[in-house]
Amino acid sequence: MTGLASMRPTLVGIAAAFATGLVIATPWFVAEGNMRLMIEIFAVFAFAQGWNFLAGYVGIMSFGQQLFIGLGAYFLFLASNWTGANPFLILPLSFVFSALFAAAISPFVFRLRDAYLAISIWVVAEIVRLFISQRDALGSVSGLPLVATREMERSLVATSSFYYAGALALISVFGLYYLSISRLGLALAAVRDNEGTASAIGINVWWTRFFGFVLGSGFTGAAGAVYYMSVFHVEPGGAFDPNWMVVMLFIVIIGGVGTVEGPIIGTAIYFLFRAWFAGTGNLYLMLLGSAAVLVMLISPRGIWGVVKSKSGVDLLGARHASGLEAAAKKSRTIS
Amino acid sequence: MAPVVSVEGLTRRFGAITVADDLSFAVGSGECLGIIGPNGAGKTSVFNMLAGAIRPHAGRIFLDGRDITETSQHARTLLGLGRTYQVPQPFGLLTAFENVLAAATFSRRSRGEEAEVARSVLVRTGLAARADVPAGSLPLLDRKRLELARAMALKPRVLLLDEIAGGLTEAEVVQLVALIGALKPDLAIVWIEHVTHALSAVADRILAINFGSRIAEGTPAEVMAHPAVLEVYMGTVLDVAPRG
Repeated sequence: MTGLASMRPTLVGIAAAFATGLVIATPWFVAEGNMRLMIEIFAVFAFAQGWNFLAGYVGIMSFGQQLFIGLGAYFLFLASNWTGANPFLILPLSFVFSALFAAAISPFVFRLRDAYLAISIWVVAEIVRLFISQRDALGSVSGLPLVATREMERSLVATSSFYYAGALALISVFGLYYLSISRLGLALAAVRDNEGTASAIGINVWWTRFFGFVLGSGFTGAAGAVYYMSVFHVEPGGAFDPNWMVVMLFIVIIGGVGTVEGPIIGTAIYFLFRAWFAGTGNLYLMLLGSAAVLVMLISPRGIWGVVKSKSGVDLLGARHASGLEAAAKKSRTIS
Repeated sequence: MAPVVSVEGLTRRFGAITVADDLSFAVGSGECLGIIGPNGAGKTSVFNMLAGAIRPHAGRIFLDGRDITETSQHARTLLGLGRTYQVPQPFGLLTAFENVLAAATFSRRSRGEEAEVARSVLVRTGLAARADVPAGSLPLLDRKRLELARAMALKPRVLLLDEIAGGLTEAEVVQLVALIGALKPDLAIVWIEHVTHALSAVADRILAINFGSRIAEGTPAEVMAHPAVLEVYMGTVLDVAPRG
């Protein structure tokens, strides 16, 4: 066990390299239509993982992460349409813009705690949505097209979007794993678990939370830009839709908050539900809600939480093995 | 010898209740100051002011002669202050090892050997066999041990112990006293404790407070026999003194 645990970063590295290869090879084997679906799945998975990072790793509960989906998307559309720049080249700036916006609102929303903080970010999302809806220069309620992609070759657009979405998915899995076992990950976990004690061991709690919030929100912004870039059109009602928040919550809660694996399971279940029941109208939403409630009743830690505790299998958990227990057991059996 | 940590005129009120009233004391390296007092006397509030969790209304706090009254809690830790909590406050989802590893890492006093420091502290505090158990599911006794382990992993120059012996068995108190005694030569220790015989075994001086005010100070024997202390703990002096 201990040997396996110490080898884990290497094994995860091999898995990451393999998964990256798979993503790179995909456009050669998969039809454009299916690739479009995969872009959507990867982007939604990245939304969920961004929220999971905030709620489960940083300890910030936000009910307004649709704010950053919309901001990332609008930044990309406006920057590309105004300057004529290739959206694929300026997409990383959506991360920067969303992160800066998160940094700018932090001093205000961090004055609030828990549920108040969660709602305050939602309020900011509504303000931004209304602001955009009332300005013709920003496309008003009917939104904006992505002009630059019109002249580009369709397959090139699809492939480029897919690679960005693939990168988001890879970062959502392996980036989150490596971040969680890093020094920063340890600081975030300490702050999440107990702010007072975190401060007492020398961690600057405010800046740690700030950094986590900015990083997670920037990532959500980048994912929002990828999602809307792949559909060529963005409007405020869709991009800042609180239903995005419902989807994120559903995926993370049924999968398992605070784990890398949970939202993978949650995303799979979400898209399967959608494929099977989307035609059933309101019944579909009731099914989603019932599934979430059922999982919460059985296990507040989600499906992966149950699997992990029942089987003892922890693939991508942020664990620092001490190496002490094995030594203690060994000395006990000898003596 | 210059004191490592000292307070002058420390005063703090919560509404009408005064938890610290013009308190002054100083502790040098290799020295242990015990603080006793009945429940609600203000001991933990004094601690929270030393650690930086709350601010005093008046008075100054010095570390190595440097005024740290306005210094934030995490910055005080970086300067060498380490504390435990009376009610254990672990990082619940992290393992015992990770709790201590975080302390060794973020106090920045064990660069490059954080994991070794964390392991050795867990061994010294008797937590080695529980090292990979999430702290939130440890029994109370182990969580109390973890408080001390985490504070030790900071490699502090001033160690603030808040009722670390409470709830331990007699044998465990003996172990604890031996452990703190071994740490003492390199540290200035301020120790709040109700288990007075444990405190008396380690403390060079004891400060007794009630309603935030000093009622006695001196060697453990002097303070335990002080009329004001007896009055606070036993009722009136007359009840006890004739029989004693």
